[in-house]
Amino acid sequence: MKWLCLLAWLLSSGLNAATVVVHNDVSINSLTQAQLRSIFTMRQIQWPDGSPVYVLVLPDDNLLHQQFSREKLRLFPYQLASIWDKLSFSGTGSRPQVVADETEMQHLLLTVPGSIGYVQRYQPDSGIKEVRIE
Amino acid sequence: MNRIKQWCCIAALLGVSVPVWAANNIEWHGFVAQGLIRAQDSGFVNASGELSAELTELGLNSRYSLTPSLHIAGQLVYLDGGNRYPSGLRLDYLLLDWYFYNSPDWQANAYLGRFKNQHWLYSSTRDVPFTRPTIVLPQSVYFDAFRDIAVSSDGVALQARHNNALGDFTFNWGIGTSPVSAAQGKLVLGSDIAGDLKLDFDHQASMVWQPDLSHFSYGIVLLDSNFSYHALTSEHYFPADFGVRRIMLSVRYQLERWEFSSELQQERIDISGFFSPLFQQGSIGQGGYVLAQFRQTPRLKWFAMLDYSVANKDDRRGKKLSASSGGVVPAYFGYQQSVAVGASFDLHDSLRISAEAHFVEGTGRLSPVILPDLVANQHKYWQLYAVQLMYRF
Repeated sequence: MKWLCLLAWLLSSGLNAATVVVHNDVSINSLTQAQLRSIFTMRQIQWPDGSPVYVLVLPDDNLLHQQFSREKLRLFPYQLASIWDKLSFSGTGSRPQVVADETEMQHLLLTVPGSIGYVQRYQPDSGIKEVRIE
Repeated sequence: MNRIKQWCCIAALLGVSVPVWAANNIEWHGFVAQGLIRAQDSGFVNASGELSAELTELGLNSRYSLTPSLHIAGQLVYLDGGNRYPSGLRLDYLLLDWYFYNSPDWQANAYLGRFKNQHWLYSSTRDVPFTRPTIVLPQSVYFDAFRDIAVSSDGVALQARHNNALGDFTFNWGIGTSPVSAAQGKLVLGSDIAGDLKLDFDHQASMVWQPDLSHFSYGIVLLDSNFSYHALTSEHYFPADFGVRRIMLSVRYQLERWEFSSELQQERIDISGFFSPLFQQGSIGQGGYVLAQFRQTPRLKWFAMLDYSVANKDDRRGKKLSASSGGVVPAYFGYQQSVAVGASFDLHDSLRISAEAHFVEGTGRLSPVILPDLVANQHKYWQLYAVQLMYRF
C-alpha cells in the first residue's frame, strides 16, 4: 500500500512539475539549472543574441511559483523575492513581470518576444516553446 | 516649522509619484516608514532617552533603460533618526549602469556615479526598511554613525557574476569617495569640532560564493579608506589623517523556515594628528554578529541576534582606554555587546509592522566616535525598543 501511495505521489508530482517555456523566437532549446537561475534572479538580462529577456512569474503565494522556485531554481521563494528587492532598491536591476495567473502567463509568452516563464502543463501545439533544463 | 515644511515637501513629492507605474523602460519604487523608538539610558536616539518618533524613513527610486545594456537609476531618501544620523534628504545613489558582458555563464556590469555599497550582506539595502532583517542593524558592522559614508560612494564600480560546476560566484570592486557633511563630521569626530572631515577615498573588493545545490554562501570583503581632517587654526584640534582598513568574512545558511547569517570584521584604525600635531595611534578593533531568523508563517517572522564589537582587540573591556584618559572616559566606551529579539508581520504584501528589543552593555558604538559623548551616555547597560510600520510600492 505504501509503495502504491509513493508511486501515486511520484506520478502526480511528475505530472504537475513546472515546465520552463519561452516565446517561439527565443533561439535556445536548453539551459542548465545555474543558467536558469541567472535568468530568474534577473542577472542575465539578455539572450545570447543581445535581445532583452522578459521574465514572467506568478505571485509569491502561487503554488506553481513555489514549486518552480524550489525544484527548477533550487531557491526558496523568499530568497528569490529578497534578490529582486536587492536589485530594485540598489539601482542594479529590475523585478520580473508578475502576472495574475497561468492564462495571462500563456498570453504574454505568445505575444512578447524574448519572454520566459513556466506552465504547469505544457502543450506542444500551444505556440510557445519548451526549454529543457539539464 | 522647518520640520513641517520638510514633511510637506516630501509628501508632495510622494503624492505626485504614488500612482506607481511601469512602462517598458522606466520603473518606480519607494517606501514610507514611521516608528517609535526608545533608547533608555543612552544617547543612541536622543539625549533624554525618552520615547521618540525619530524613526522616519522615506524613499523614492527610479530606474530608466536607455538601451537594453544601459540604465540610469537613482534614489532619494529622507531620514530622521535622531542622533543616529543627520536628518534630512540625501541622494543615496544616482548611477549609470552598463551591462557590458553577457553570456550564459558570465555577466558583468560597470557602474559610474554614486553607486551603492554591494559588498556586505545588507549594505546595499540597509536604507530600505522592508529589506532589512531588523529595524536597527547590528552596529558592529552597520555602525549608524557611518551610514551615509558606508551606503554609497561617488566613483566607479564593477560587478562580475559567474556560474560553473562549483556554484555561483559574484565579484564586486569599487573605488570612490563620499561627501561628508558638517553634521556627519560631528557625528564621527565630536560635537565641538569646527573644521571639515573629508573622505579621501574608499576602496572595496568582495567575493561571494554559493556552492552548487548548497544552502550556504560565503563571502569575503576587503576595505581600505582614508579620512582627512582640515582643522581651523582657531580650534584646539589639529589637521589629521584617519586610515581605516577592514577585512570581513560572512556566511549565510538559508533553509525554508530558518535563516542564519553572520559577518565578522577586523578593522585597523590609524590616527595621525587631531589631538596634537605629532599624535600617532594605531588600534585594531573587532566585531561581528550572528543573526537567526525564523519564518513561522509566510507573513510572520521572528529573529534573535547577538552583536559584539571592541574598539581595541588588546583592550576588550576598555580598561586601557579609561586609564589613558585618566579615568575621565569610562571603560564601557571601549566595547559594545548586545542581545536582540524581535518580530515582523506582513499585514499586506506592501505593509509590514516590526517590533524589537535590544539589551546592550557598553557604549563603544554610540556616536561620536573619536570624542565620545560622556554626558548623554552615562550608563554601562542600556536598552533599545522600537516599533515601525512600513509601506512600500
